[in-house]
Amino acid sequence: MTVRFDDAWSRSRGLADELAASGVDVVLSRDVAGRISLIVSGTDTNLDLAELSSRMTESAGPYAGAAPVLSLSDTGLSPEFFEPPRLVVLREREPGRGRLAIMEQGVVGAAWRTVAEAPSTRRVTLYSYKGGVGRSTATVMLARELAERGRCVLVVDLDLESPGISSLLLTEETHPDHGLVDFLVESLVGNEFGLDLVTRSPLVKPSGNGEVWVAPAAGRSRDGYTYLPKLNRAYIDTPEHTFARRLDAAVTACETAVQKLSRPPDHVLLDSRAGIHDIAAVAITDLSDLSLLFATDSPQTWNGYRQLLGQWAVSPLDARTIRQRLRMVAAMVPSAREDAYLTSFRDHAQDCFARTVYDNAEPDDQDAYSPGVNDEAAPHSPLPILFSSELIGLDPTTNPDWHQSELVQAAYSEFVDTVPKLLSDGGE
Amino acid sequence: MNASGPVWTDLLRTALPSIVDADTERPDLRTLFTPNTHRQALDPDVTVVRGARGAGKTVWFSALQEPVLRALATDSYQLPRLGTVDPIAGYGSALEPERYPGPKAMESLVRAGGDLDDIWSAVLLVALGVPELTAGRTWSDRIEWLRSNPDARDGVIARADREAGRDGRIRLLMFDALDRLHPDRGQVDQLVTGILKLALELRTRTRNIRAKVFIRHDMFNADQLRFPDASKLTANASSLTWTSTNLYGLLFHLMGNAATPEAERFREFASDHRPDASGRWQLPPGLAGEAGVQQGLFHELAGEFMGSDRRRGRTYTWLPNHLVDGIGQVSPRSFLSAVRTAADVSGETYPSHRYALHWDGIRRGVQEASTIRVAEIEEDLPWVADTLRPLGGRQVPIEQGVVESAWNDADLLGRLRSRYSETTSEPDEQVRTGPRNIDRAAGLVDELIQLGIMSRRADGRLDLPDVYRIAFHIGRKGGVPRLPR
Repeated sequence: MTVRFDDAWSRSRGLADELAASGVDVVLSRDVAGRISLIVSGTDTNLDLAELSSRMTESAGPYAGAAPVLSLSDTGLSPEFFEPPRLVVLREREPGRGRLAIMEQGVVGAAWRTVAEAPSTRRVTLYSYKGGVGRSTATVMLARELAERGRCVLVVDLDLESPGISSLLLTEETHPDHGLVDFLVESLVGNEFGLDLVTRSPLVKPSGNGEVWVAPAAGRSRDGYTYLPKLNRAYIDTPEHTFARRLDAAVTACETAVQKLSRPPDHVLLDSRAGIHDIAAVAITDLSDLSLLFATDSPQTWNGYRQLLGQWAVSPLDARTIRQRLRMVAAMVPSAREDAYLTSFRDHAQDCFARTVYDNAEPDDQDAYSPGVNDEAAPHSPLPILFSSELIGLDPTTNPDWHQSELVQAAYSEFVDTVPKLLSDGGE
Repeated sequence: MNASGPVWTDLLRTALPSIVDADTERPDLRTLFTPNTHRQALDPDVTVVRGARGAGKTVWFSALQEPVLRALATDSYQLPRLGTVDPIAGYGSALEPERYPGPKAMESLVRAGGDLDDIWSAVLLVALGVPELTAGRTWSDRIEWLRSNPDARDGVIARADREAGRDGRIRLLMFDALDRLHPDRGQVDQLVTGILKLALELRTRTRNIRAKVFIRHDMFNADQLRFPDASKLTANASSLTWTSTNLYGLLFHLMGNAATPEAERFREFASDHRPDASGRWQLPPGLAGEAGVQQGLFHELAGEFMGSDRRRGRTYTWLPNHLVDGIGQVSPRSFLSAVRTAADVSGETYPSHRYALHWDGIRRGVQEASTIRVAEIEEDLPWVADTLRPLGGRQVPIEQGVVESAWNDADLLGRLRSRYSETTSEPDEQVRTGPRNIDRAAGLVDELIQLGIMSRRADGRLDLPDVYRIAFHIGRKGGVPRLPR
């Protein structure tokens, strides 16, 4: 039988389990191509590595690493290398039992595994698994609402592949010279200082002291300004300059820029790109304290979110940390059948969260975190954004006052009323 | 305010009842609360009043029979017609053999056969004071008399209608505790249909005699309504429900009306309480019916969040949200009991907490209330507990097949059949109606869903709200294993 990608992993995992049970520490490591090695260490390791290697070769087939089983000393790396966050501990040491951990190397999706302990509380990520659900529009509506409450808001366009939000908030003339993408490449060579990254939105005019600032993905379009060559390099991970760290630095630089030009932003909205890309992973797991997950009630969407949340469920500790920072948004809720739609959405969302990041509550375990379908404060409980056919005719680019329309305001009212309450200062 | 934490803890502990069951719960002047959603149910022209377990059917059935409380409701709901009502019990949980047949008499009347509707005609004529039917007769004698004097009935009703009209009164025949009519569900359905037919007849053929039927949702359905014009009853039926604002209104009402000095401090703190004609303190309108105002006050009593993390939810919404059953209802009894336990726990375990209610106390209160809910169910629908017990130790959501085989293993259907299909009750035994479907497990599931005990998930599996899940030792499936404790 041909051993495929998933088979190789689950069989190797079985072998790793067995080894850990015998008292040695095991790291299950997978490289960029998916090849798997077991790295073993323990106090009295008198394992027959050759025998283990042949078992691994058999289990993992073409996905067995060049050296399928290594002792830690053979790797030439210090024991400190094999510690979180580089790896995820699946099961801690217990008397007579070794530690079982996994390490995913250098691939998209790896960033989903690590969850920062204390991300900035002023940053909010708006993410959607599928595109075209009105995420950017919602970001603008939220920024507008917070500004109406007197806040200084910074909107950062992290949708580097298809930047869009700047066109809702900026005009050609007001576009800053540089974008996030410039920061991401310049920082690879330590040349990121002095970029013109942010500008104040001339289109949203709050009545009080509020301000809306924008950090676009790309700089102002002009002769000699390129985008694609930068985009190709933006995601690069080098040992000194990991992508995650450069992205964090980029957002921080935008925040600092707003602070210099006006005042420190109270809220930073990260308009993340759709899909399972590292940029979304970093935004959700490392950068922000609250992530709004946009979804429509369709099987593909739930399947996607189950995969995504499942990445965190690999580590119970991460699942516990991250679940409190998530909140579903029901996008494009048909207003004609709002109640029925939301009932179905809530049911599917609870199922998705329960299978991945909620606690498995055994009978009589009353401290488990396992909200039921109708728990309105739970992460799966949707904040609705209504959709009606009248909204289709509203083209923001030709109608700069689109966000003032009554229809738009009614559609977003529950969303913009509730999100501020989830922010660190309760939106007060 | 924060220095007052312990004061409010004490107030909550005196103002809120410890566990009480519905039968012993007699409303009184201070404790009777008039939620704005119950007005329609009290209108004399509203015949059918639906209400879930613990929603207040028996409370209103008793209150309307007490002149003082009836006056209070008349005044509080601005329902002058309620003041002209002369209520008479047509059926209830109290033993009143002079007004209606008790459980034993009912069983022998049903066994004797004949038209069951005659029972209610007899009850009505007794209520209207027909001399031939009063004092010293048994119910079978009365029905016998009725059957041998078929013309008498209409004349008596017409005369009573005229007299009531002349006096400007409404004679109101009230029915409650219908689940105690008979152990067999089929017989109950027939008896209930008889009551509903009589009620409709009074509405269409008299001007001043009315019936009011307090009934559980699951007992008032299509099967009961297969007689001409029955839809008229559905059209003006009302429901006793409790919104979150009603529940908090009740809580604040009880706090302001406790007979202690702390209640006076509370009334000063939550300003604008007014005494009404009966000496009862009336809540300021905002506290009785506006979520925002109530939330503000409750945050003063319990803090804003369920713990240090705001994402655990707001105390004000967390409490009712975690008590809600499968059809979105919270019984006032379980709500009050949760707050009461929260006050007890807070006073004993967290005496120096800055608020009267500690969030951990609220959490434990909700867990305790879940056992109250179960006691309510045991009382009203003992068979429901029988269906949930075999699921103990499992987790929801659960496949229906697994439920059915657990029932099979416990021989649930067999036990229900032997309990409910024949009349085996002893004289002292409280009569309680069984489920409608004792032949098919699938039918039983549907009935549980209808009652709000279970709900069906989108993928077809069965789920339970936390109130029942926790009390019956049932877990909830999740993806994250719990750390060994």
